[in-house]
Parts: sequence; C-alpha cells; structure tokens
Amino acid sequence: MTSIVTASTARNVMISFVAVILAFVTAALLLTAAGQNALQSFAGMASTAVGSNFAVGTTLTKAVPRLLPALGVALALRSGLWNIGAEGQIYLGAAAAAAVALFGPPLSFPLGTALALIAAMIVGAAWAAVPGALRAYRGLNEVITTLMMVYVAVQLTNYLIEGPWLVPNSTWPATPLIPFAFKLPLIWPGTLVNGGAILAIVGVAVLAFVVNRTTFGLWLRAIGGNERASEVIGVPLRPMIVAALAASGAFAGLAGGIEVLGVRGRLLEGFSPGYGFEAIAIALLGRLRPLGILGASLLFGALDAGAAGLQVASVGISSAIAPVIEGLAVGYLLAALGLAEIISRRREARSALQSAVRS
Amino acid sequence: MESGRELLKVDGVSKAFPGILANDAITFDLKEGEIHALLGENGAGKTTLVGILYGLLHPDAGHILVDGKVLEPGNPREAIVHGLGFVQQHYSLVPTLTVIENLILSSRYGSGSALSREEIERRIVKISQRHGLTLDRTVKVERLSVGEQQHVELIKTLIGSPRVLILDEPAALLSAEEVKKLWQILRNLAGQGVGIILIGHKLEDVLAIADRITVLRLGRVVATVSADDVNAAQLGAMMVGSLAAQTSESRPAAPAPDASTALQVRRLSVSGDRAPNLVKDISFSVKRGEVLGVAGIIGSGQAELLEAIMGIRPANGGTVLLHGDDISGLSIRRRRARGLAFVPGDRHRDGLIGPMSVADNLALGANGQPATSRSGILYLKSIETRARSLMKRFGISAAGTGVRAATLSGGNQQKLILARELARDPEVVLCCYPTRGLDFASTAAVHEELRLAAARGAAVVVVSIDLGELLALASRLIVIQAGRLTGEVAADQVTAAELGVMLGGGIAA
Repeated sequence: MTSIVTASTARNVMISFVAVILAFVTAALLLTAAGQNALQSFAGMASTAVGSNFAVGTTLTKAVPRLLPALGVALALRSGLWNIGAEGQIYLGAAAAAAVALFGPPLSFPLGTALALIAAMIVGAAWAAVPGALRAYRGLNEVITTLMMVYVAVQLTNYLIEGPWLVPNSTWPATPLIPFAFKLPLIWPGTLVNGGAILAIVGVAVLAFVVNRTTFGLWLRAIGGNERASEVIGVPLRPMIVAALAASGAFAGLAGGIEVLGVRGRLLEGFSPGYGFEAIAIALLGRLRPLGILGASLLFGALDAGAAGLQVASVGISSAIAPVIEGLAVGYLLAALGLAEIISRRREARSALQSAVRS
Repeated sequence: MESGRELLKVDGVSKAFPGILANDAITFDLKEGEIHALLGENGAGKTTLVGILYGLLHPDAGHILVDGKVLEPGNPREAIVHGLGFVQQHYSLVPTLTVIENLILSSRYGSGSALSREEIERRIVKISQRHGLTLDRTVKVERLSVGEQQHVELIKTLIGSPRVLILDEPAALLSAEEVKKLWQILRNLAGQGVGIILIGHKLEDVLAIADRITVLRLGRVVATVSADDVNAAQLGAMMVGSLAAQTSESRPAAPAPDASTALQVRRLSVSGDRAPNLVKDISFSVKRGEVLGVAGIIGSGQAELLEAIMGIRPANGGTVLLHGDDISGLSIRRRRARGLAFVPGDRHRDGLIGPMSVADNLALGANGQPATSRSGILYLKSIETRARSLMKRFGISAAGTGVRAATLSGGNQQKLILARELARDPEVVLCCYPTRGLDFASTAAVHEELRLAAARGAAVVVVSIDLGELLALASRLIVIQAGRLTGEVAADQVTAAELGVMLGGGIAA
C-alpha cells in the first residue's frame, strides 16, 4: 500500500516541480526580451520574499489566505466536486468574523477570536452548502453555481461595507477597526506573521487526516472514484455532496476571518485580490495533496511578496510578472499532467496485461 | 476449407513476465477461410498471445509469419499493414457520437490515410450488405445494445479489409440471440476467405463455430484438434488438466422445509431507463437458505427488478418485505444496514471504485462496522488485516491490498465484490449476472461462494441469462418475460431445454 502511495506522490512532486521550473525559465525569457537582466530581477524578488526574516514573514502571511481555501478546493475535488466559489466564501467569512468582532459581545482573545473565526467558517460553509444542495437534490452543476455565488457574495459584502457597516467620514469603503482584543496575535517578533499561520498549518493536518483516516474521507474518495458505484455500495451520496462542499467552504471562510482578525483589522472592500481563484490553481499545483498544497501556496505567497522587490530591482517591469509566473506554472502543470496521463496509461495498459496474465 | 492456404503462423512464440512464463513455445497456424479457436482458462496465455500478435508485446523468442513473411516484433503497425484486424473485448466507441461518426473517427486514427465521409459511408453500406449487418448509421452509439456495438466494432475493423480477423472473447457479453447472429457473420466472412482467430473460454461457443481448436494451458499448447473430433467434456479436460476435469454436477440443496421467509416481494412494478413500467406486478418470496433463480432473456426487466428491491431504482408500486417488515421506503444505505447485499450486473459501473485500493473497496462494504471504524475514524490496521483475510478467503489474487481495483482481472474484481458483499453475512443476497465474462475457475469459485452464503442462511436471488448457471445454483426458478412473471418451477423438475422453451423457445440447450 505504502509503496504505491509514495511512488505516485514522488511522481506528483516531480511533475509540479518541473512545471514551476519551466515557469521560471519562461519568465526569465520574457524578462530578457523586455531588456531586463533576469537574474537581477529574480534576485530582487528573492530579497522581498525570502531575503530577511521580515521578508519570510511577508511570504508566510501572504501564503495563508491562499493555503486555506486551496485545502478546501482540494477536499471538494477529492470527491470530484469543483468549488470555484472560494472567493465568495472568503468574503462572507470575513464579513461574519467582522460582524462578531464589531457587534458581538465584548470578548477578547482567545475566546472572542475563536468565536469570530467559527462564525467565519460556519458562514463560509453555509454559502458553499447551497450549491451543494442544488447539485445533490436538483442536479445543478456546481461549477456554475459556486462561481455565480461569488458575485452575490462580493456584492453582499460591498453592500454591508458601503451601507450599514461603513465607518463614518471615510474616504475608502471600509468598516471601523475591530476591537484590538479580538485580533489574532503576532507570533514572530520582527515580522507580521499572525496566529493565522498556525491555524493554516493545522488545516493542512486536518485535511490529511480527514481524507485518509476518516469514514468521511473514505466516502469522499469513493464518490470521487465512482459516484454511481458509491451510491450502490451504500455511501450516503446526496448528504455527502452537501457536506463536501460545506467543508470546502469552511476552509475558505476561515481564510477570510483570518484576513480580518490577523492582517487587515477591519473589513474592507476588495481585500482579496482573488485568493479564492488562485486557490484552485494551488490545489491543482499541489496535486490535491495537503503537503503539496502547502508548498504551492508558499510559492504563490513568495511570488506575491517578491513582486514588490521586483519593481525595485527592475525599473519599468510591472509587478504583474508574479501572476504571470503563477499562470505559467499552472499552464505547464496541466500540460505535464496531460503528458503524464498518456505515459501512465501506456504503463497501466502494460501492467494490466501482465496482471491479466498472472491471474 | 480444410485444405486452404496457410495465412498466418505463430512459430515457437515465448514470452516471460517476472515470475511466470506466459507463453511457452506456442505454435499454431491459421488457414484461409478457417475459424480457429484459441481456448483456455484465464492465465492460459491467451491475452499475452493476442498482445504479441497485435505487436503490443515483444516476444522473447519465436515469430509471427503472415504469408510466410516474418512480422517485425513489437510493432502494432506491422500487424495492421499485413492485414491483421482486431476486435477488442472492451469496445472503444464514443457513446455520444453516431455510428458513422465513430467509424470516421477510427479510420482517421487507424489507417493513416484519411478517407472522405462519402467514401466511408459507401464502404460501410457495402460491408453491411455483404455481411448482413444492418445498422442505422445516424443513431448514437449509446443507444445501441452490446451486440449492435460489437457490430460497429466489427465494421470498424472490416473497413481496413483485413485478411486475418482476431476476436477476443466476442461472445462474452452477448445474449444467445446475438451470439447466433455473430456466428452467422463470422461464417460468412470465413466463406469469403478471411481467416478468423477466436479467443474464448466457453466450450459450447467454441464448438459451435470453430473449424479447429487450439487449447492452451499454463502458457503451453495442449493440442490442436479439429472441432469434429472432440466433445465438450474432452475439451474441458484439456483446458483444466485431468485432475479438475470432473465438474461437480451437485444439485443445489433446497432450504429446510421449516425455514422462514426472508424476502417477500409483493406486486412490484418498476420503470426501465427508457421503458416506463418495464416490470409489472411481480410477486415472489425467498426463504432463508434458499437460492432462487430468475430466468429470462436479456432485457426482460430482471436487472431492474433487483435494483428496485435494493432501492437503487424507485418502484412505481408494490412493496418489499424483509422478515415481514416493509422496507420499500428505505434508502439503499438503510436496506444494506438491514442485511441486503447486492452484486451488480455491471461491475465496472456499479460494483467497484476503480481508482481505490482493494483494501479501501473492502472497507466501504464494512461501513459503520466497529471492525474498521469507530466514531467516523478509520482503523487502518484492522482494515488492512481484514482485507488480507478476505483476499485469502475469497481467493482474490492481487499483488497486495494496496493494488487499485481497476487493475484486477474480471474474475478477481467479481470476487472482490463478493467478498465485500458477503463478508457481512447478509440476510438477502441479490445477484445480477454473477459470472458474466468470467472463466471456468472463477465461475466455479463465485458459485461456491453463493452456495456457502445460502448455507449460512442467506436468501439468495440470482439473475442470469445462462440457464446452466441457474440450474447449477438455484433450487427454485421463476421465469420473467417482458417484465411479467410467467412461470415458476423447481430446479430438479426441469431441464435447460425445457426452460429454454419456457423463455420463449429461443434458446434450446
């Protein structure tokens, strides 16, 4: 059992690694074509991504809101369900956390913070459960419904921020600052890393445990492997579809809550530059494996943190080269996966032939 | 035909895999217009030999000769160029495309020279007419029966005008009627000089159609004989070796006279996928320890009937009682918890989670049982131990419990399903086409497990289109025709031939 798992894991790591290397090589060519010294540009990126404790802290802080939704996306995908709507679940999770902190009882860390984060998870889960229920009981494609609900969620959050929750006399749409007592504490002196990083690591462990060591995870994988047979074998298919998407949404909601309580200190419009969408790319790049997703989100966090250093090092280059590298990595990954699929099919055909001979 | 020119010769072909000599100096030949059957159990080396003929596998020794010319080994293009055509066991058609679209698709893939649509249509009409294959070209493949899909596969191959046609288990999934039709087509082809190699394991099929038969066992040629010179018993002995030759013609045991009724079906009506009210007003009951056979030609609604009893398919009316309790309203999951087990007719689609391991597939059957999980947490060690012991008990041969179910052979997949379903000692076992596509040894093993389940007190319902199978397993039979129950008979008071007449006369054994 272990040999098969580790073998395929090793291959998974290899495929993603090659995709990332190719993305950097392509980016280097692009930079060179634009008249820049690519090495100098990458060195500039490295300086603000990993060049100092503060830089590493920035990378970690920027990895967290990508990591948690990606874990959620991966969880749903293990059962074959696409949660494209993590972005909306992030926004509503953030709104829920802000509501508890702003309008809830005057509590403090850890109880108040925990309550706010739990509220964020519940709201994220509930928002994702709606497309889950529509898929399970009405047959609506969750790819479309989860995505459409993003826009509803973002506009709903915008309404709250610009309407009833708006800080008086503000020039920028945002809520008042949340009480300091609710905030996630900083955990690494000299950096901006907050307690959310620990929660994100716990999230990695939780996903690994849930998928591999629980009945829920067994059912999840069964549905992902063969939905029809799962139901015949007695897996409660419809409730599982709702639960898988809800659990996925809880991860995204938690990420939103952490952004409010750990990073921004308030709910503000457009605080997520698309973490929820990047999460899908990260989940794929991490090959749906918890540790792979951790690695991929650290990479994306570092690219984000490095974008600032790039602008300093290479005058005239937009920081948009960071998302270009992200996009290239995913593109190469998909190409590599296609190739690996062809190779493994050939290999499988051969081994199936051999096992047919043996049996 | 007997004195036809030699078309193809397999000369001393050997192929070893780690730990097994799959083909050991295999030699046989095929003449023009001859139907030559390769007969053997799973593991006899048939699949390997086909792989070598196809050019997928590189033989360790020996040659394939066509018209006396040696084929370059391990090159699939060689086989095609030299006029070898293959009809696969698993069809490779795109279900959502029409017949003609599938044929165009494959001709572009296969031959290299892209033909125009008109040219292909013209050839198809010609081929169809010549071989009596009447197919609506504009219909989508998903709407075709298994037999019709095979006809599409056949045309696909015949477009290349092969001189040697190789068919791997062509009759495995066909009804008796479709098999008859297929034999006609093959006879017709042979009459035009095409040499046909038929891979099979069913003695009756092979005897009905072949001119010569080459029996393989454990990678070696046992003998090549003329079909006129042997009978089924002799062939069976050659296939399995003299020891296991005597197939136990054990009469199924009837349940104890005082056994209580386990399953009762009252006036059940069920719709099919495309046919409303496919099954109408069917009532029967099964006692503890009894095996009830459900006989009927394929598509009479037997499969849908079992699905409705299991809760997979909603019933239009009627009730299902388990030990007197109405379970009609329960979910599949609840019915399983009450002791129903189900062996589906389509094991790939409904029976197994292909990408999951053997251990995980077995664990799925034990859902909620303390043996493998508590409070939703899996006990990986017990799952592993349990999987190992079930593999041993049910004779599932796989490299380990971590092997993906999809990579097992058909026989092992079916044993895996039986292990998962029977390990819980169910009250009722609903079993659809339990040995479809399986070889002799696997069939015997599956039958034995079903008998044992009944002996442990389960009420077993077996749906099969193989009357011999029903007579070997069941003590009582019900007959279903076009969705209605039309007869009931004790197994020891009827022969397969009489049963065939009851089914509508189509199948005389």
